[in-house]
Amino acid sequence: MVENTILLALKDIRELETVSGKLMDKGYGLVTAGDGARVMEQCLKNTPSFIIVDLELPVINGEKLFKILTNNPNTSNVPFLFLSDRDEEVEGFRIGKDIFLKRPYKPEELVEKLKQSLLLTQEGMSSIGTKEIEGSLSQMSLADLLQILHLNKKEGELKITSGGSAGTVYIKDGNIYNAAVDQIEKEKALFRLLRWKEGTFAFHPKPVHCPQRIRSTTGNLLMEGMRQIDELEKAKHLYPAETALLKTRVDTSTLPKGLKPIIYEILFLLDFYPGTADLVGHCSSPDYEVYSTILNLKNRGIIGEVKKAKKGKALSKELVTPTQAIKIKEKIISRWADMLNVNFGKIFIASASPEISKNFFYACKGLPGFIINPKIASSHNANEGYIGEMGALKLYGGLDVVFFSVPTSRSMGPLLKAFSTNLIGLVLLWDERSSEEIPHLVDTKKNLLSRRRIPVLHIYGGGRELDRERTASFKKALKLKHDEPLFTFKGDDEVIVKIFRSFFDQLMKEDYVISGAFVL
Amino acid sequence: MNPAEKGTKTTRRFSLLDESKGLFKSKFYDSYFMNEFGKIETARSERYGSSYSIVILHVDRFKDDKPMQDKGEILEFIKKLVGAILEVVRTCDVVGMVEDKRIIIILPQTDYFGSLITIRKLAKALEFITTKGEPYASIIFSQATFPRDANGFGELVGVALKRVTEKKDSPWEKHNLKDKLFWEIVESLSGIGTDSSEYSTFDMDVSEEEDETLLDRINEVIIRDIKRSPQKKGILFMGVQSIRPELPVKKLVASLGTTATKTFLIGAGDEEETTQADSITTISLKDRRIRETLFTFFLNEDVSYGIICREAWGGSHHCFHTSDPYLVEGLVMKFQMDYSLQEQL
Repeated sequence: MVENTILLALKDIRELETVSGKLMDKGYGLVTAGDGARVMEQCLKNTPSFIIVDLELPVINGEKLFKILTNNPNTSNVPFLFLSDRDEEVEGFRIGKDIFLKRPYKPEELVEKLKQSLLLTQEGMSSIGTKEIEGSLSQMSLADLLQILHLNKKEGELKITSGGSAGTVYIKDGNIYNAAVDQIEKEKALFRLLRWKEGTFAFHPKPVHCPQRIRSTTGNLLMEGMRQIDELEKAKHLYPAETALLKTRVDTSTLPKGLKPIIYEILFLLDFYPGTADLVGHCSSPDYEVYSTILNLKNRGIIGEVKKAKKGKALSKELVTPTQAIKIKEKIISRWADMLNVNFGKIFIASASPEISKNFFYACKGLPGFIINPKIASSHNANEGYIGEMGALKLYGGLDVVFFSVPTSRSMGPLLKAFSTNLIGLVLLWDERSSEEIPHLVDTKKNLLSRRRIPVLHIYGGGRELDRERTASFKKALKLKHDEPLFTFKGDDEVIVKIFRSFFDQLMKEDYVISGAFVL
Repeated sequence: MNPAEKGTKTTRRFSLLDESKGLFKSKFYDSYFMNEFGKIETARSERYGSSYSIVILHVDRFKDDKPMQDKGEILEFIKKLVGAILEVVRTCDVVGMVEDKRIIIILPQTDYFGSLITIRKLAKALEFITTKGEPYASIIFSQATFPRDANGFGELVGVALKRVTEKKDSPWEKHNLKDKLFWEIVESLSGIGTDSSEYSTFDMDVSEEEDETLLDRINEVIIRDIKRSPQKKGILFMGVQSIRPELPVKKLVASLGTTATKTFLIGAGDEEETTQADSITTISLKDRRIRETLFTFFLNEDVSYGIICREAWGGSHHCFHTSDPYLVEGLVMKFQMDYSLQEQL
């Protein structure tokens, strides 16, 4: 299609001939259509630069066409010129982009308006399509920059770097769709970025396909962000230091229901991340809200500062080496043609009681690269039997080992089968009190192993060493061979790292058949 | 011997394969040709990184389960069958005999969902021939896709044949659900008491004190699954009692962003209406039964899961759930048919 192709769709043939003659005289490429269906067809073939449409077009009227084409990503940016015999309101009319002309009009007037609109669009496009905006945050603040992009209805990614950190703001139609910095997203990330005073920015115009995670209008968002930053600065001296360690001082199960969700989230996360900076970083709410809630809880005596960190052996920094991580990935993709899309392996956690499952996950927080599912942190169901992702181990090369809690009840069998995509292992957990549930664990294991061979970890979480007799009795109940290992997990030591090292060793050594899914 | 062939042993006295040459239309090939073509198609798909599928039609039994000994009648039936198949398939598809009573169709450039759509088309087209006004012959369709299911043509046929047996054991065939309406199927399934790894029933509490129900958690698992592999094609139906803007599941689905999974949110409404926003299509249906039922059907290349929960006494729901792909696909198909929705996968 030649540059500046105009799609002209008018119901009156004489009017169509007059206008098309004028447009061709001015050197525009022209495609004509007599009804709405033809317009659709033409637009699908080649996207025009401009659409002139009669509002009373047969088959699909002009307004309906406008609605359809502006919802289509290929044609959403094409300006429209509407022609009508009377003044009409067109739903979704874009002021400054679309034109409305009431009959009678002069063809010259139409051509002039079209020319101006095309010029404006092309200027806009050239700044959108090819050029980048670059600069320093010390010369232009992020808030100012976002306002400019908003006013100009830009679309693209705004990359900001400061020191060793980098963040991105996703902008569509000038609105902020999402922001990301490190593992943080949404308002929290944006407000963090707004605090950066030094650094550089670069705007990359490109189509943004990420889901809209931020719903507030840009104005409100920036106002709120700046307010939170001011408040944070003002009350900084009252908040615990970033290095301070915090601890819950009450039994959280006694807290009433109906409190703000952020309170439950903070108290839950505190078990995993006692360091203030860590806690604030992992909480899903913006920093100011987290700090002020921490302060509030501290003033009420619900949480308190711990003077010194518990002395303990530092856990090893790496659970698996990069080479091992690659081998694990190879194991997962061994039966997959679609190598690029394999980014996770799943370990099912079947527990005889919710309590032991919770203890196990608390211990997992010590695993290098372990991230808890924030949904669990913000829900009150952590103490119940949870179904779904409890957390994930981030391994080298972008591979996640997902810890997926599964029910052991026989009636939940279909869930096990359905969600076993990329299953690489099974963990069975029980303790003395829940030992009568062992047959259910055995059933779960049998159910899964009948379909595929995966390493299984048998972990006794009773908190004490098992004597020979008890070990033998559990092995018998679990239908384990004499030489198959049975781990004892005490909750807060390095055993958990040893257990998972053993698991990954087992996974890599043996020829486990790991398929993407059960054979249908 | 395949258990599926029990009772039809006597038909082996003659081989349809021997008779196939010259008796059928020229576009119907023998097993040698199909095997060679399958190998070439495998090589082509490997070379271009694309996929292809096969569909197998297994003639399971004839009227009254009696072994058919009349060669002429069988041949006549197979001829009609082949004729109808050739009407349905694309010009690029290749149809032939794999062995007695088994017809194979090679579908070039076709993925898992494409093969399921072909099966639906075939089932519709063959309905008259197989029923003749009354159940005349039962045909079981199965499929397999390269490279998802196997690394070569022979292996692919093996997978598809294995699925014939699996499908025969599926509640879809065992309970003859294909001849029932959607709500009749729901009724039948709620009565199944078996707890197997493929399907089972249970009761679920939906008290107001609970922050989220088991179904909410399952829905969340599904959404996370889609988010982990957004490029994977799939279809998701979520049935809620009534569609409200503050519905948690609506927010959950809205967080999906752009994915290759078609998502439908279905609820009871006063007027029949359909709205579409981003990745979700909201369908409001005027039906009392929808108001009393919660359901989720999810189908993609790797996962098939369906759950139906119906109101019971005392704020609890009686639920049926399954991971049987044939049953889930059947439920999706029946729902689409009975509510005149676009039949898509």
